[in-house]
Amino acid sequence: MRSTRGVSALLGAGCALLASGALSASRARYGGNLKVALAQPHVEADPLLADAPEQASISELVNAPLCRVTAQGVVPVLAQELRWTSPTALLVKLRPGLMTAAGTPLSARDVALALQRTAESATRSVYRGLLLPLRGQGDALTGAAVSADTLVLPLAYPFPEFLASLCHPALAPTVSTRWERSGVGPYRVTHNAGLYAPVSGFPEGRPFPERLQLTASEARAAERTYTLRQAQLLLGGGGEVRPDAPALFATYLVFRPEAVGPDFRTAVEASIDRSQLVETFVPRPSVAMAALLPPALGVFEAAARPSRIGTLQLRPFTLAYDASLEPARAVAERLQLKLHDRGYPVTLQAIPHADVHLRWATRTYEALLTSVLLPPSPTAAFGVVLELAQRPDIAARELPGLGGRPEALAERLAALRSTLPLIPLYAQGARVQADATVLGLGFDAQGLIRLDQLFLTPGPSPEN
Amino acid sequence: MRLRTRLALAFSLLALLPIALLVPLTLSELRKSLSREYENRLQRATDAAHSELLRLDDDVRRRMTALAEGPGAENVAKAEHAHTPVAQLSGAAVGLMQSERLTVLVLLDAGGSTLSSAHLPARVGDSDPALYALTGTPGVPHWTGVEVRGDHGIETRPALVCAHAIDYGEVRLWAVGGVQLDGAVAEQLARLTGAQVRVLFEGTQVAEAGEALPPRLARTVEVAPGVTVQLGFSGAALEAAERRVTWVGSALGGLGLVLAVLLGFFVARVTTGPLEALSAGARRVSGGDWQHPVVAEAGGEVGELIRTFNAMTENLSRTTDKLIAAERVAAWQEMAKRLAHELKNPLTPIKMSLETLLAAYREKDARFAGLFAESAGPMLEEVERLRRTVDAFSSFARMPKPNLGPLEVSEWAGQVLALHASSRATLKVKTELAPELHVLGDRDQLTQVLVNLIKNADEAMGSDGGRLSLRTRRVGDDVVLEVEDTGPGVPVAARGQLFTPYFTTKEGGTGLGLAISARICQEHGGRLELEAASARGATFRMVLPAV
Repeated sequence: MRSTRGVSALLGAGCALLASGALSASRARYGGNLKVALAQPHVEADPLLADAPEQASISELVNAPLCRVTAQGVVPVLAQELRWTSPTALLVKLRPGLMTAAGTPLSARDVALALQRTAESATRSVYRGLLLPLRGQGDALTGAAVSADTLVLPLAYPFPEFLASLCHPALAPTVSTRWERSGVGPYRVTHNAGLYAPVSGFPEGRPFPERLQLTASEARAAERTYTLRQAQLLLGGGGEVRPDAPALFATYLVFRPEAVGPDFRTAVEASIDRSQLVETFVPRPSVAMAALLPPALGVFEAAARPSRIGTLQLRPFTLAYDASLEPARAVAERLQLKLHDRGYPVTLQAIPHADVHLRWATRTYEALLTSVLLPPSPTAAFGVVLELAQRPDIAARELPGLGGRPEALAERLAALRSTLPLIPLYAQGARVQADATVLGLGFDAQGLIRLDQLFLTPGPSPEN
Repeated sequence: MRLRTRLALAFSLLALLPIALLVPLTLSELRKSLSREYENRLQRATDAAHSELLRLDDDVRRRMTALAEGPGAENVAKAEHAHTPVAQLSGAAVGLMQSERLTVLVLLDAGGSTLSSAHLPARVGDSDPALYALTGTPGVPHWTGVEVRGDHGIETRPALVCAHAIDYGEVRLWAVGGVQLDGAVAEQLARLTGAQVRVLFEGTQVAEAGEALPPRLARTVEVAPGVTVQLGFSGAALEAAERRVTWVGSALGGLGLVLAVLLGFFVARVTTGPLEALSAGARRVSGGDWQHPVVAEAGGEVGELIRTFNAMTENLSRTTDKLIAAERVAAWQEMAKRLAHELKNPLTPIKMSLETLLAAYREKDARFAGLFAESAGPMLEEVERLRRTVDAFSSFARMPKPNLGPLEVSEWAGQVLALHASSRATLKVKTELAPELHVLGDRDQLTQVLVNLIKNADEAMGSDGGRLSLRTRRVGDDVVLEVEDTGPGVPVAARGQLFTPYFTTKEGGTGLGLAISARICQEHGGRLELEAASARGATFRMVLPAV
């Protein structure tokens, strides 16, 4: 029941944000150059990898999802119609004339293949957890396309939250071309590095700015760029915090019990104070996550920190973390230090973002600090968490009973909290800062920044 | 061993002795000198490292004072005064640390909680009792252990740190910072000393820099209790220098030894050359060669000796020539005397008979015919005797060369004995003849010798008889034939002249038998001799070269 309230609150907040952005703006006008500084090393073009809120927001510029969760509920984007034909069959009809940036049409079969990518060995993603209710857990979707623009997704059991799962940015349909994957979005990438041009025929309408220039650099450089008014928008940097950003980018410490020892969870729980961790080492907007799901998805019972512990069985282990995420490094170092204070040696290993996914998929880690962008539906998010824990057996057992019954989720989360080989740490929201010339800034229910909704006020343009 | 070899060895040993003593001694001294110089260099490098570490003390004090009094620290204190969230202060220490080129810096609030840590950012929010304790002695650098992130986890490294207060209004912060004794400092020390530097903290190596090829010589700098810097100097250069010295010394020693041996042989040759020439000369002289003097260049005593030897040889040669001539004269005199005696003996009765006959003839003595008939017989006998004497002399003088041919001695001797031994009952003949004794000889001449010896033995034993022994045997390269009798033997006084012509102890003997026999033996390359030690009887030994 609490989780239901959480979803409602979340959706309400997203709606309010969008509304407030619209209200605070003067009349939107077309034109202008929007310069965006990204305080992260690079932008992933593949939606499956672009899962940090800032990265996903940028990815959506060129890879729009089938639908978007808003205050009004699920709003179709690339889909024209999303309809349950039965409790276990979801019909998806695409908008006509969808063309990818590469100039190829987007078909229903392309969508099915894009969904199936999450389960393929080369691209196996934690976001396969979104598709677990599908028959065969999403492993065989090629027959789902019933026509060029329509596909019917068969579910193994009734799971109404699946509709929201389809809106996740990681499942944005893309088509494989000769050189890369390309999707359909409000912008297209030009030949100039980081320069995006608006797409006129996008179903949600043409974006307002004439051009969007994205510059990715390390945090200090991006902040300096923004401070020097060389960019109107700062993504992922410090400074002013928007408390309204839904924090759904959840970070977990995934581990293999056989590699780290049976008392790993106790040692970690006893060593870290999540509140202090968030307050000191994780940039805002961030929130401690003592339960398996973040507070943005509801209030769940948190595990109590062990107060007095004796000698623990903990093996020396290597903690791998995402080198592209600044909080991950700081948190990993904090974990290392606190476990060291208790006499447990930890070796850190910084690995590229793509390798984090690869290590997880191949279980080649002892302990791995990884972050996932959870969907705004707690039950759907639970599926992602189970996939992150690599426990499809539990998913097959638990999810059928939870579909459409969000009130039962809290109890199952509490029951499984100590079973899954992962420890929730914190959740983050998108970090964004805009100067006065940028209007229309807001988040959707997923916590992504609607960059396609921004428009510029008349006034001095940023210095070049 | 020849004198030359002995002298050469002696000279070599004499040369080897000083080389064997001096070369190792010199090498040892050179090595000690190199080692001393190397030790001095090591000590200077160690002192330099120590001074560098001591200099850190002033550096840390100065830099921390500058940091605490600088605007950056004041801004942090100001932010703390404004209750800025910890997250926004957590990065402050990094900039301050870098600005003062420190490697340790932590900003603590008044209660000891970490506001910002540059060397261990993860410590923010925690207390750091070890560093906070240093605030009790502000401005004084201390060596202590500082936790930092290493490749394999959190490590404790030695650092020289100093605490300084930062005041802003009523807010007091503490900046505790300094310099880690880390790889950078180790690298600096390695460059300064040229050594491999190892930093040990409480017995564990925490940093290392530089390289030193083995063998290594270690020096330790005790920086503080538990903080040690080990300097490992390569002894390879010293070892190489010692090797070079040893090699050069050994080469020189070896060269000296070779030269000494060569010199020894040269000196031995120079020294012993005249002596060897003298020795060869002496051998020549002993062999009867008087004509060739010793020719050798020598001075001093050896030269005098050679000159004296040559003079002596010359004198001896002259004396010998004179002696030979005198002996020849004496021999001729003796021969003439004996010949005269032999000729005179028959002449006297002939003369007396002729004088008697002449007187009887002149006196017309009627007994003349009777006397003539009576005297003619003895005179003819005496004339015959004269003729024999002259024939024998002629025979001795005209001895022919032997006609050599193979001869089996035992068989031949047996046949001669069977033919010429007396058949008297009182004479016992005993033979001991070894088989297969071959010589090259003139069978007739040798038969003459053996017959002579057999007859002499037979006559020596006379009518009383005795035992005649004939023995043949092989002695070395010679074949020996002995004829032994049990007669009265040869008087000692006669032994020296036994083989002299016309010397005889027998009534009516010509005195040429043994002389001719001895000459025949000589002509065959052998000799005839009388055994000197015969107790009774006489043993004549004929020695011939065996084939």
